[in-house]
Amino acid sequence: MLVYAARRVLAAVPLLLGVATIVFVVLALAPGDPASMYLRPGMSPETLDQIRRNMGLDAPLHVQYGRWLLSFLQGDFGQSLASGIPVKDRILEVLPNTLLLAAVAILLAFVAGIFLGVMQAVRQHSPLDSVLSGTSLFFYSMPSFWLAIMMVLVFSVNAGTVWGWPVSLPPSGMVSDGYDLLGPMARVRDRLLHLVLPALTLTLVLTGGIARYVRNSMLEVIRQDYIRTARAKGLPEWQVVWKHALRNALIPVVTLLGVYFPLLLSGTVFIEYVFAWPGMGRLMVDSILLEDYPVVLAGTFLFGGMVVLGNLLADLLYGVVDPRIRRGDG
Amino acid sequence: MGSWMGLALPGLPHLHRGKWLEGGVLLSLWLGLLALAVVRFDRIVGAFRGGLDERIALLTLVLVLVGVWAWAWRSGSGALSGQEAGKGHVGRPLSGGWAAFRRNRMALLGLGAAVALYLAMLLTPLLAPFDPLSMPAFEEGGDLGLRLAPPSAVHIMGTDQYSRDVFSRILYGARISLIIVLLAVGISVALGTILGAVAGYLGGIPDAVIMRLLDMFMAFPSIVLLLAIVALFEPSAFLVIAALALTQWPYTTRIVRGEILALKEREFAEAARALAFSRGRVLFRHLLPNAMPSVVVVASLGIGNTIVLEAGLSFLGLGVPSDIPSWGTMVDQGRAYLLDSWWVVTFPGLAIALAVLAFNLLGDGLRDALDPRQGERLAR
Amino acid sequence: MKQVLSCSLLTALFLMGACADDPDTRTMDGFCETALARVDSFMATVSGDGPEGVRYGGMAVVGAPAEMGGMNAFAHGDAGAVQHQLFVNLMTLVQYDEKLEPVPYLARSWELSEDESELTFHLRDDVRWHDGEPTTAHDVAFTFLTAMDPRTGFPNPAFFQHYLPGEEGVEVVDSFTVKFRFRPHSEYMDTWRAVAIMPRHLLADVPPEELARHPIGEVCPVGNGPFRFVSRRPGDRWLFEANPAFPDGLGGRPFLDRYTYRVIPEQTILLAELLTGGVDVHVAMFPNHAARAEAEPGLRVVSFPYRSFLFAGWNSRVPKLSDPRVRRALTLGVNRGQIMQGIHGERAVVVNSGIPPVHWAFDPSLGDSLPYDPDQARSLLEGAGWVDRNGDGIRQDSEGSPLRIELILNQNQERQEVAEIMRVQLREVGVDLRPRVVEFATLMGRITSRQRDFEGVLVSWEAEFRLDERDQFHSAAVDGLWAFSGTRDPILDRYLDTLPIITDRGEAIPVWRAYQSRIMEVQPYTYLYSAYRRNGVNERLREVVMDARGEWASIRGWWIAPEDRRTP
Repeated sequence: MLVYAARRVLAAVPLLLGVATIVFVVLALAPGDPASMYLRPGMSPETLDQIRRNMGLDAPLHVQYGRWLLSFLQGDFGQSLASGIPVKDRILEVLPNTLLLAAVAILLAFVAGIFLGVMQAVRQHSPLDSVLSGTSLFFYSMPSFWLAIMMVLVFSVNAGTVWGWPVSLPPSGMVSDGYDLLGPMARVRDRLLHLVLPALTLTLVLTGGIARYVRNSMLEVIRQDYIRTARAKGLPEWQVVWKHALRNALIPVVTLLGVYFPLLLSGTVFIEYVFAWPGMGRLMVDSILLEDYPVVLAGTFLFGGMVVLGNLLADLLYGVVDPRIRRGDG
Repeated sequence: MGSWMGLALPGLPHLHRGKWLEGGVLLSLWLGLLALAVVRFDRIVGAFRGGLDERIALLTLVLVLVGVWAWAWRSGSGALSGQEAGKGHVGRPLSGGWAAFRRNRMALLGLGAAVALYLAMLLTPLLAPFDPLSMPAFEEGGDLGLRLAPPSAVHIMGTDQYSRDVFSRILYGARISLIIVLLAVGISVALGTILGAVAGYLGGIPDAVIMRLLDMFMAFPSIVLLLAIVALFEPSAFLVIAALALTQWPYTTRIVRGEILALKEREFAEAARALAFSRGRVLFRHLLPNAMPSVVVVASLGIGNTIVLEAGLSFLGLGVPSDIPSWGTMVDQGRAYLLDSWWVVTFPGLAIALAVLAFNLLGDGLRDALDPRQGERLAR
Repeated sequence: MKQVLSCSLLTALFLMGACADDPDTRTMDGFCETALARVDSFMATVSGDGPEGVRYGGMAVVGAPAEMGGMNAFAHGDAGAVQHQLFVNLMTLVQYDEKLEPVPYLARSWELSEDESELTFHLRDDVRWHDGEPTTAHDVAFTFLTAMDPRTGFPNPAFFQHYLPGEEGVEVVDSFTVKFRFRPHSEYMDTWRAVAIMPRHLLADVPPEELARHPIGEVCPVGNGPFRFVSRRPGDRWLFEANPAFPDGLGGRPFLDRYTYRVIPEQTILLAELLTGGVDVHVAMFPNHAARAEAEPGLRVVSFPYRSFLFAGWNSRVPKLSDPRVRRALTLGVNRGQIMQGIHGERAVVVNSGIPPVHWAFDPSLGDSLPYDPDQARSLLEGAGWVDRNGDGIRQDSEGSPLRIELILNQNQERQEVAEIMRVQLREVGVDLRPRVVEFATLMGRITSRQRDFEGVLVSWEAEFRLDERDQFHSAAVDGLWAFSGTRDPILDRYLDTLPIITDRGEAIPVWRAYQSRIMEVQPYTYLYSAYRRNGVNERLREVVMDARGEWASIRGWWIAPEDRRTP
């Protein structure tokens, strides 16, 4: 299995380089000019050319690409065109924030999704089933940016003044101003408060899909013989459902994690934008708009790598869970 | 007795016999459409001289009225008990699931909403109370007070910052949103199916090439590609549709390939090959039709996802440029007014959510009805 | 087991984030490490006993929808960055007072030679860079020479256009006296209000080509202004602290302990932050958001006329836009007053040229000479040969091609609204205006590139106090970046050549008026209006004065009463 995993990872490297190359080509073909962000009234064309030269944009495309590829293969992601800050620093600075948001949201979504899915499976075709699946699917169907703004309206702007709630959640950012002056407990509290809205929004969007999946998986398990046996033994129903059935129903669900996590990273783009969360998604959007290709390429490579790893993980888990699945099927 | 009552008022006999749901739907559809015809009588008359759009709307109105009437007549007179008229014929491999689908109330709701959306698209010229483009406040001698009017009897969803009627714009916007999405999904599903079928059936080198390509696209954070393409090039309908299709096809390919691989081993395929049918014939006549149920499921779920994606692009100001904006663009342009004039952006937002919900319910229902085990592979 | 694993993973992430968030000295290269260490040790020596008083203390947050460039005057020319250079982190030789007259800042005094070609500044001797080095005449000369050096790519070369190049233009008389030489110019002082002085001792060894991307701009700025740089996370926030060594002669250290610049891209969320007290100042508000903030107790809206204005520029190189009658019709067919009213209420002024209402040469009497007059627009178009020949409501030329004009603009709420309304109004006079939203870099590329691949462009322009429209309208500059209208008019050329050298304002005003009338005849652009800047301010932050100089002009005087301060 280790050999198989190693082979997959190695095979992914040219793949990811291919992906990054496509992005490079797209950015290179785009009509805009990264230097134009420095345009000012009164500037002469010569000055603009000079700026372009200073940014290293005067070289022909294949040279720019070669330069990038060479340094990339040596593990150097280069410098951001927009700010001159090393790309590695930029990414390392924001990546933990995205991971934090994604991890919390995934955890919450799995807990809620599993709970809802089991409830629905136990009461299949009941009104509760319909209502729950309707509701979770409704949130799943909402554009996340839209839900995010609504959440701010309800829990932040109107929380104190209109509804009279004691806490109004901070609408944006990761920490309050003056965070570094707080004591350790207050810091944790401050971070948690800032995390609530973005994480909750993301959770609401995700839960529907997971609940659906758990429900189907549970339905299949509940029909199996050993569940009937457990019931026949006279075990209480909750024990049958939450212990015996769920344990087996969860196995395929675990593999979902591998698929979800990397997808989430790009799924947080809108959430990060609305909540001004300094994460990968916003970095990518900003960099794309500025045609800051070193950042975009590194980010794409990173995203792509996570997708590959996630898929590999999911495949391996599948293999463990269900030996019938043949490996190497792609 | 029931039948002649049904002639005059479809649905009444059903109510009479205690079939509340079916009767209610039939009766309200019938009355609603008639009311529409009366209220918009002048436009119906004008439609004979009007453009293609108006004529299509008129034709749709007539067809729907006839359809409702025929449905009521057939089911009301008891001629048909098991199978529904019209809607049941989704194709051979699909028909088996219809009974299962019917039992799923949420799925039926989704189907109903999707059909209603489709009809509304066709009927828009008759349904929309105002011209979606006219800005009375900014025309010669206009009154700025007409802007941002809250919902009222005249403007049931209020007016926007340009004094245009929000309801009418949602109706017209549905066309833009749905046409973009349907085209994108259509292209991606067609492309995905062909590639998946070829990969699955031929195996070997074509399979390897297609699968590596697929891996590449799957490894792409689709939003990055979408943004890069749409933001940096000048947004146009073609570009948005192509970009959306480009990021969606791998999902279809993966599923179709899996299906074909499984079907290839089945007896009927063996038999076909034993009869020395050509490869193309085996693939297109015998294997693909049996893979179609999965394709239908992916397509309907894909519509939901693509509506959200398109709305997201529009939200970042990168939607399709057009006089009549898509729903996403309406949310984008109206959200500055969210805090003081909630209606400008809430209704388009709800329209997006409901349309996506309808297609997701439909897709889920189809999936359950056709093959409950498939769900695993379709998680977003 | 699984839960335990994911929980510890989560905690780890949490801690990682918590640690990463402390203001840190980034170890990206040696420069920043040593520079910031020296700043810290210098600040430690001076911050011992600060001034006492209720006004000292507290933190203020300014929220803005967009990130600013940075603190490098050689590279960052966007409005937000420039204001931070001028008022927050760096210093200029002079500042403007409320009447826009120059007053001493880094320069104690100055004198102009008899022939108006030599300007001598006497600098303060008590201004120190944040790392303790004194700011001297050598820094000023260095800034001048570097900005003049074409290899630097200085973004605002126009400020130095009338200066003698290189060493001829500047002379360091002694450590605190510097002399400049130039050709007489009406606005010779404005340069020194607009260009911040950069530290020579840190940058003298840096090749000019690398200056623009030097870490001093965005990673570890070392300035000499009232606030020193502490930390920054790109796209998120900048943190500054009071500079205790700021000279007492200029009021000493500012009142605020800290000042944070936050970027919140979504305007509705930014407003939510203002409403919930997360930010104290919300710059660049949407007009309707300002109305909402005004209604809120505890908030006020500071609005003031500004130097920016909105216009639709027409590319006269395109045949259908080459006729001034067509361009006039496009202006007459748009109800500029009503659009302005609809979007901004009373807080905007219709303009007819590129002279903003806050400028001394602005002539309000010209306001009514280009009214909304669709009938005149129709007859002008008819006169120019554009007639609706097929009854579709859109005019065609004699060959039947329709009067369709593409108007490009970038994603911006206000401009999208204006373009939308213009489209509807111009349709009524038979013009098919097609607004088209493109990404900003693309827009800039299209209007400034040699191909001039566009028909109309809707942009907002921020004029300097030192007005010079030569690069937009002079025939000699027609191939320059900014001559996107392609205007060639000998009369305009004459005015543009004369105006900069009339040093007496009284004499200049009639010439400016004649110039504006000529602009209105040529109509290179459809000028729309100049909107007020609107900023929501929490009332706990006191003495916030904002005017045409900018939002941050009075930041040294902002203060928060002790009882209103955020508890950290």
